[in-house]
Amino acid sequence: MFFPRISLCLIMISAALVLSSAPVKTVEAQTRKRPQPQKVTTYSCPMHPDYKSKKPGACPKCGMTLRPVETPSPTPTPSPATEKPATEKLNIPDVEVVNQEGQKIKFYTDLVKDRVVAINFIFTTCTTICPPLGATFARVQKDLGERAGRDVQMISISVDPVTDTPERLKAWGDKFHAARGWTLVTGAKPQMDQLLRALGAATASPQDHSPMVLIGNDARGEWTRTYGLAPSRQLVELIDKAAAGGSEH
Amino acid sequence: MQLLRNIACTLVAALCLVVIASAQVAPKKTETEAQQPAGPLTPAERRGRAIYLRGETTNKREISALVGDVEVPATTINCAGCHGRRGEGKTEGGVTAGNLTWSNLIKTYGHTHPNGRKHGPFTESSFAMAVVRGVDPAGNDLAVAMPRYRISIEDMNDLVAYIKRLEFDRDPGLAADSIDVGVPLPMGAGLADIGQSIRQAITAYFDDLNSRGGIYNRKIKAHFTEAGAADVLSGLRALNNQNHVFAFIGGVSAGADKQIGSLAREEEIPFIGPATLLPQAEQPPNRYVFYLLPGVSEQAMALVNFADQQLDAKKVRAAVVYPNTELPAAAAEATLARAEQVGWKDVVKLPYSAASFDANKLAQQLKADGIGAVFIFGTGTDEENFLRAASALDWTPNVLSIGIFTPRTLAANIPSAFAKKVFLAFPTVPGDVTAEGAAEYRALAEKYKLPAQHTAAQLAALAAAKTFVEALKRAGADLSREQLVTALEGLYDYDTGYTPKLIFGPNRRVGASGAYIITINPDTKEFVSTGSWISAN
Repeated sequence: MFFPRISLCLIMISAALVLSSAPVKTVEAQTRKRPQPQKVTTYSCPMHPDYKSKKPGACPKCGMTLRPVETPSPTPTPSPATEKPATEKLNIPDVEVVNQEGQKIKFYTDLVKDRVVAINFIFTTCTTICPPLGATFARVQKDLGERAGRDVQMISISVDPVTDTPERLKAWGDKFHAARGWTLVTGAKPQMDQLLRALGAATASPQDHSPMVLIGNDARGEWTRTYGLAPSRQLVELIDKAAAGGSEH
Repeated sequence: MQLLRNIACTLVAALCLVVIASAQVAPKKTETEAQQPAGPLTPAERRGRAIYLRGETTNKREISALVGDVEVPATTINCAGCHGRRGEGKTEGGVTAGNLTWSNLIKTYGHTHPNGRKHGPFTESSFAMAVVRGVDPAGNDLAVAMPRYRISIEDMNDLVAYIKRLEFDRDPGLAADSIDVGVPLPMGAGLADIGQSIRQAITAYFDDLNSRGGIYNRKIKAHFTEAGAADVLSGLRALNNQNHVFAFIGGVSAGADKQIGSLAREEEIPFIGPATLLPQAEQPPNRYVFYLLPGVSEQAMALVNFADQQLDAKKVRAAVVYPNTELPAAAAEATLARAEQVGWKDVVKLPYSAASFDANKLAQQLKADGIGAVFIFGTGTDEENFLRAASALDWTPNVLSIGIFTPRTLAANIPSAFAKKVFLAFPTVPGDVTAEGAAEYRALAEKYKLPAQHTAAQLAALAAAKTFVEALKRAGADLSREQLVTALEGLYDYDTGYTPKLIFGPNRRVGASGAYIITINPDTKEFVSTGSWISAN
């Protein structure tokens, strides 16, 4: 029992004060951030477009290198919620991979072709960001319900194929109740490297892999990168958008 | 709006207070600085350790982690996963988990994080707020990757107790100047002699090592299972309860492989080099057990590879004949599995009961079926009788077996028709003892008066001890069991001087996974090597 009553009381009250004043702070911050009427270069995180900085550096949320963004006009940018996410085209190689059941499958033909797909990147000996990534995917799978597997294919790709055997993937997936519609893949290193490079997820060391989730609609050839540690409903929203082709947003 | 929020927050705070206050019984602690505690962990610290390392609680209510809007058991996302087993913190995928050692948390000048977030020193209660609410002592939100935990007051108290102890907590059996290891000696009537030889060899090896300074100034102390124990497993349990060993090395696990594997896994005790014919090589592997030599399964797989590569056995039909007992059945299963992997078709599986073995009938049947390769794992003189029966039928298929299933008389009694047709797998051959290995053993034997008998058992124990010491060197001075396991996984082609070269890896727990394939020269009645080591994969 380590909670001295009085100090706790103080903490609680100060916490309450801080919490209550937090929204005001945010508004002030936004007001201050409003761009000046001349052309300025700001720096923004590719994963967190809402974070902006006047100086180059690393994103405080995910550590990625900030990219310069030209802000030519003083008109306020639309809020990220209503903004259509930037999409890109991907050329996905049809390499042979092995799923968590040990079956050999073709990555593009069997998992991606003509489908709506959500891909995250994991390795089974990762104890840091992969469990949250897995938990988020588990929630997405639950929220998708019957659509998982039928309309939407969820894929976890191992960034450490040398260690990650199908058995390891299976054990990892079971922790998050990975079911139909959530396929975990590993494979021979050269093929997996080719695949990861094509998806923009190649890293020199598994420890450096980013918590990125790739969401796409192969029929339309539209792909979006998002932050895999974001709330799962954001991922589901992006999947919905991908399924609808993103046109009505 | 603002007012409402204030009232709501105060209410919440007041409610929390009531809950927490009702749990207040222990005397108030006044110490503010971390002092190095001594002695074993208190019960609270032990419970806190299970929460910190594994997210496990003895409470009925499980601890759960909230990642955004997703709730998972804390066993999936535990503290140590991100903050490290020693609380040192780490960075992965752009996410930095902070240093959780108490002396760092309570630094009087507080903390400034790379993203500009600032706060004062933590206290017990603000630490609890960070875990439960995800806010630092200044009320700032913690990084998005830090889950919020649903955890009872009791569990939180245990966790805080352990966090204070974390930086001083070493794995059991590990001290600044010593490492305690346990050695299971073979149990049972008639094995006391072997046990005594192993004991002397291991003691001599570590005495010699310690006299030269030990490993990073740590002396290695070996403890041996008592001959009075009922079996190897209870011997190991008793040994660990008495001495808290850092690792088990050498000795035997045969007969209790599964249970000893579970013991190592539950207690997270690395076990290097238990001798057995049935290494538990499941996938994913038991993280803590490292076998040096192959068992019957690995040797059987090497036999298949040998037959496939050097006897062109794919072109003939193969049969697997075995009595339905544990070891032969394990060998047969591995043979069939490997045969399927390398693409053999129509392999005949012929289990028999030891009492009803009829060599003549078997030879006739297999000959009629057009079998070209016979894997026979019979015991006693089964194999010898089969060879005689086949030879009487003028039928000489390739016959493959494993050394331990083969009677010693086979070399003398082999029919000459089977010249270069019989192939036996062996886990190790006399040539494995290198010149350096032999010289090292001779020096040790002379200095410490090692017994002249049971040298094979002595060398096997020494090979385990040397592998352990090599991994200790590679793990570095800042040692832990986890680092030892990681160092062992990094051994590649490590030459003990007494065994085939050892390769371990994240998915590989049998160092020498394969076999030597030996044939018999019927003229000289001698074993002849067929070439180099054959891998099981």
